[in-house]
Amino acid sequence: MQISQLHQQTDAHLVNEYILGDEKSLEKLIYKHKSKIYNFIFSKVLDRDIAEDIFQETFIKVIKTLKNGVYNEEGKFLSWVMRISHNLVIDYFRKSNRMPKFEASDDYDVFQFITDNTPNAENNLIKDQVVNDLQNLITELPEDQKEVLNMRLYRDMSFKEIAEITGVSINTALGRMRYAIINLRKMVEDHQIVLTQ
Amino acid sequence: MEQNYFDKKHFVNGPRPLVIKRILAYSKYYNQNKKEFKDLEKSD
Repeated sequence: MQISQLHQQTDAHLVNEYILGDEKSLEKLIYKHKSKIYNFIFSKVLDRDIAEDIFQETFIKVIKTLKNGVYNEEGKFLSWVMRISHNLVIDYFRKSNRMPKFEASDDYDVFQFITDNTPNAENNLIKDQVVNDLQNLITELPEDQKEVLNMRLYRDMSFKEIAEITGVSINTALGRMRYAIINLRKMVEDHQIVLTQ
Repeated sequence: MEQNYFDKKHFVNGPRPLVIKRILAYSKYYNQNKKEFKDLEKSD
């Protein structure tokens, strides 16, 4: 649309045409004043999306007023629209101040307290790796320690049951378990294996 | 400098064309939507 064409028609004329049903007149009014109105809003909110939202809301109010026949400021169209946008900018700042805001700092981040405990694919992979590493280490243990450890960890047997099955005292079973854990820790250190998630 | 250029660009160009299209569409269908809304209210 040519700017010279736009200036040929006054705002009052375009408003009247629009009220009479000429949708093109609204388009002309918007194109004629869009930069002034948008730049005014943008200079206040300094955010493109918010400025566009307020710009849109401004014209929605304009449309409602004109279509409902309650517009009575002939000749002052631009100042009227600017006033609407100014009020909407104030509303925006009122709303944004009312809303509780939280900004994370280096010392404190609210998201560190909001955790998702659902295992993700990466955690599952790490868990599988840890289980594999541990099983490999257990195979390196002396037979009597390996036996006690398997019964206790994988078959969830009590030390009394382990003692009965292996034919040793409970204290011996406990001692073998203790040595199995000490040896596993040593092997983890020696091989520099990480067994944590 | 990039940042300044970005801001300046928005000052010059106004809203994106899509925003204007939305406003014009709202205007075009305003009476129709208003009527449908009233009819809905009546039927309730």
